[in-house]
Amino acid sequence: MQYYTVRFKGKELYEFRDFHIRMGAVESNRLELGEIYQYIQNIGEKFGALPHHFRAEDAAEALPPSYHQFIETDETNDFGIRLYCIRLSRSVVILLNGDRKTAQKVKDCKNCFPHFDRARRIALKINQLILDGLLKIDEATKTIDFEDDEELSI
Amino acid sequence: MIKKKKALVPEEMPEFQTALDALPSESKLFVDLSMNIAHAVHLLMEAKGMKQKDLAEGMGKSEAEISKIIGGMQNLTLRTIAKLEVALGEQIVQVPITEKDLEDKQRPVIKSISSKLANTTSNPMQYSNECPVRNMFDKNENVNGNDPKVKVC
Repeated sequence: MQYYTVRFKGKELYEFRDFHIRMGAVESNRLELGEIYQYIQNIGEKFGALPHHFRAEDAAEALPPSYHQFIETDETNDFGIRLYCIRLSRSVVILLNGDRKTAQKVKDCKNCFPHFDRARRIALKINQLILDGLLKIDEATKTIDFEDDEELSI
Repeated sequence: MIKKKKALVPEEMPEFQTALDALPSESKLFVDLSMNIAHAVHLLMEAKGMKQKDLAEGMGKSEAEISKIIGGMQNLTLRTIAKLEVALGEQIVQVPITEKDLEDKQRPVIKSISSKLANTTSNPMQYSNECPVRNMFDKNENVNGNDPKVKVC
């Protein structure tokens, strides 16, 4: 299995690194963050990127999986940390960004909605590029092949 | 058609492994258990051509309840696991420890203690003179001329 991440033009950090730094900076996030990373490792080493190990989020996905039993906090509007990602195949996943979800519906969560929306738009763009033959997933090498001078704009 | 492939640059992220290493063992085990059980339930449902509706019927629960169980909204109790196993017709969780396993595990430990004791003194059950309980007992021993009530064994 191979994990990828992306970097937006004008931003210094890759999206997954940005997620790690922001979430890891808060002491109370570290346990949940570690558990999400354990899911990432197990998916990578043991199970593969099977759909039931991800949370469906419109055209994209998120971690932890929907079966994960979140450690409840004292906060009433705390639905746990979400890491948005895109499952391209059983062997290729793009890890993006996320935050702590503070509302039942993601559209009502000011923390998560921007990350969810970007993940959704990237996923839709990638799907279109695949259909147009401009992006290909090579299962054998677990690589994403697309044009050298092509920039993914969403 | 892709004429010239973009070269993707791999980047190490050692802080990912650092965060994993810092995760307590019980959290790692919790994630492992969650994934193993979820994976087993999914595989079995797929193999048997079962939908959530069928599982709900087999467990005597509503589809909404099954959705909550599979969706992690409810803790998996032993009773729920038992109902799942009956509905799926397969064991999901195995506890391989039997009395024989414990006996086999204990034997080597007992043997090594016995051999250590055998090497130290002829009577392993006798307190040495340096034993603080024995020394305290000795101080009180003939205070009232009565036999001591506490016996060293």
